[in-house]
Amino acid sequence: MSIEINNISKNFGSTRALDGVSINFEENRIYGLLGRNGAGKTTLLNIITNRIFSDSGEVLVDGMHATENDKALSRIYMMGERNYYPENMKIKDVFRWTKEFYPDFDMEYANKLADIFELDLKKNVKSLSTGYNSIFKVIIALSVNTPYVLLDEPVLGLDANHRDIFYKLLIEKYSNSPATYVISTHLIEEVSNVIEDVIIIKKGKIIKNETREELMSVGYTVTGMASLVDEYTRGKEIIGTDSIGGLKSAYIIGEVIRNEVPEGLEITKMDLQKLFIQLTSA
Amino acid sequence: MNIKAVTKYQINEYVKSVRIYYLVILLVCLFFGTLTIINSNSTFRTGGGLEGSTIIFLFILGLNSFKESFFMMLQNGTTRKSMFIGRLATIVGTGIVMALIDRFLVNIGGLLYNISDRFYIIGLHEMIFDTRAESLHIVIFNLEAILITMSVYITAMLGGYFITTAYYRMNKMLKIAVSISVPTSIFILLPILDSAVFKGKLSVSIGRFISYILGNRTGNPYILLLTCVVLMAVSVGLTWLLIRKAVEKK
Amino acid sequence: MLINFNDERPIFIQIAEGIEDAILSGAFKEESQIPSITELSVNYRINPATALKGINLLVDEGIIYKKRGVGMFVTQGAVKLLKGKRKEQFFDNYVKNLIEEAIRLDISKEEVIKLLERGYE
Repeated sequence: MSIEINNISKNFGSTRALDGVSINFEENRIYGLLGRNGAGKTTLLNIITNRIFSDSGEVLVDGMHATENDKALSRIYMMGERNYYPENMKIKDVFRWTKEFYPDFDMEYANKLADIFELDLKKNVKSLSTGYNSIFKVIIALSVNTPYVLLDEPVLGLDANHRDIFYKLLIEKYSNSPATYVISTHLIEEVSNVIEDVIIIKKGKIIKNETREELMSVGYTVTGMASLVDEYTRGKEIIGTDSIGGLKSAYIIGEVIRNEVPEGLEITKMDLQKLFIQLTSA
Repeated sequence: MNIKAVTKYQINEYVKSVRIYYLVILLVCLFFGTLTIINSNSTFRTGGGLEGSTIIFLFILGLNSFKESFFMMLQNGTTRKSMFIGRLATIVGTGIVMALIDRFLVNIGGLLYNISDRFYIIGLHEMIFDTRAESLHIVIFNLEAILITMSVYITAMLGGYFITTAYYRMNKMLKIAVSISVPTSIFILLPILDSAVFKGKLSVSIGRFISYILGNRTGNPYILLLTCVVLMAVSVGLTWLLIRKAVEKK
Repeated sequence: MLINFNDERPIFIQIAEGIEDAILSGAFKEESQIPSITELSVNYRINPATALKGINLLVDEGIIYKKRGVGMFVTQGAVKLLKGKRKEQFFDNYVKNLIEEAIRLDISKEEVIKLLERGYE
């Protein structure tokens, strides 16, 4: 049981939005689909859900071809950054219709979440603020009970308090009834503890696809006098450097051998955010 | 398959508009009806007015049948095929129901004529195919009228649906090009060509042709039915080709 | 228990240590139930798999045991076990760092010993 993406490519005019992307979204895991703006995150999610078509490659949902396949598509819910619901529809009607299309949608739970977020169900979609526009879709995503839930920038416009509630609810929901969640975002720091697997996309290509632990263990930062750092890092895979005065930090991919580290150099773990910035900067 | 949900949703989209439409029709009838009753000099006359406005209403309804619904369906994991089949079911259903309602209203109008001849309400079918009203049994005639009106209604909706889908698929340049070239060729180029080259014969032939395919010239409603069937088939085919590859855009 | 996500060690290790600290401080008594995986992950907004990994570390060391269908409990004798383990780590975690920093600051061995004595007073 998985969403299998095989060699997907997509051009928009002369821009190559996706370039031979292959990923597996396995059953009941939480993925972080990380990339800078315009890296191809939304394009990929849009292709999975048939909102647009790829130029080549295929998507399989639980072994079924996803293209124009009701059965495959009904197993996925995508919360998009952009609003697809009719602007004049009331939120309670959005819930009601979601139930028609996704019979496993839990209306009671959705109403409970609306209460927690203080979302007024009588409001029209178009009268919602950016934050509440994300919230009502997040509520649907958490209540819809499909095996695959794709969240494209779920915390867009949410204040710190609502973001915290969202992560809490997401983990609670995931613990009680596991499903595959794909969270696409460029706000890495916040999701880094929630996600299990990290997929980093850069200019339409997958550059990393590993568990978070694996990814975090491959990189470290070495800091010290510039000359010492340069000497130490010679021959190692450097993905970036920062310097302030004579002090230099180098970001290294590889394993640290503690005994080899000379006196005067400081070794620290690289956090996901830093690693991401170094990996995706041009 | 979620065709059931799709159809239910799309019917729901229409129901509101249809309700408002008949409310307006009712108010108009009440107004002129009351006026006719109060003022003995005025009359309430209409020949095919009801069906005529229904055709325009349904064409506009067809024009509003794509974008919003397309996005809602995409959001809810529906394939283009399901949304298209659901839409056809909705259109056919709406056509049948409104043909029945309109026929019922026309017959009520006929009853009013028996009360006072200042009420002179006749249906579109009676107007175009007046000889059939005399030669056919009233039940047969009404059934025939329902069949023909229904197919005209469905054709009008499918036409609107096709146009709005085509516009959605076009890019800005093409949209502008079509919006300018179609009216200019019909209302400017054609008349000029007609008077300059064909000495007015072209418009006469076109008029005759239109009158023929509408069944007006021969008084045969089944020619109109055939025309509708052909138009329906063409718009269904073309619309499907357009929807098959439709994607999200701003 | 307190988890500091700015700590550079993996989160599952921090979870395990947080529970250890709570046991040592007496917050989680021996034979008492500790929070479930769900409670831990929801509370700290971390992936349940990460919380499970941390807990399993403690289960493997015999500090915590699982009762099927009931929950997880602190083992009888866990405090003693933990104290032993922490004592072993004491040199690596504290003494080594202390000496390294002392050397960096040119603090002599005698001075360090004096400072230690002052700390105990």
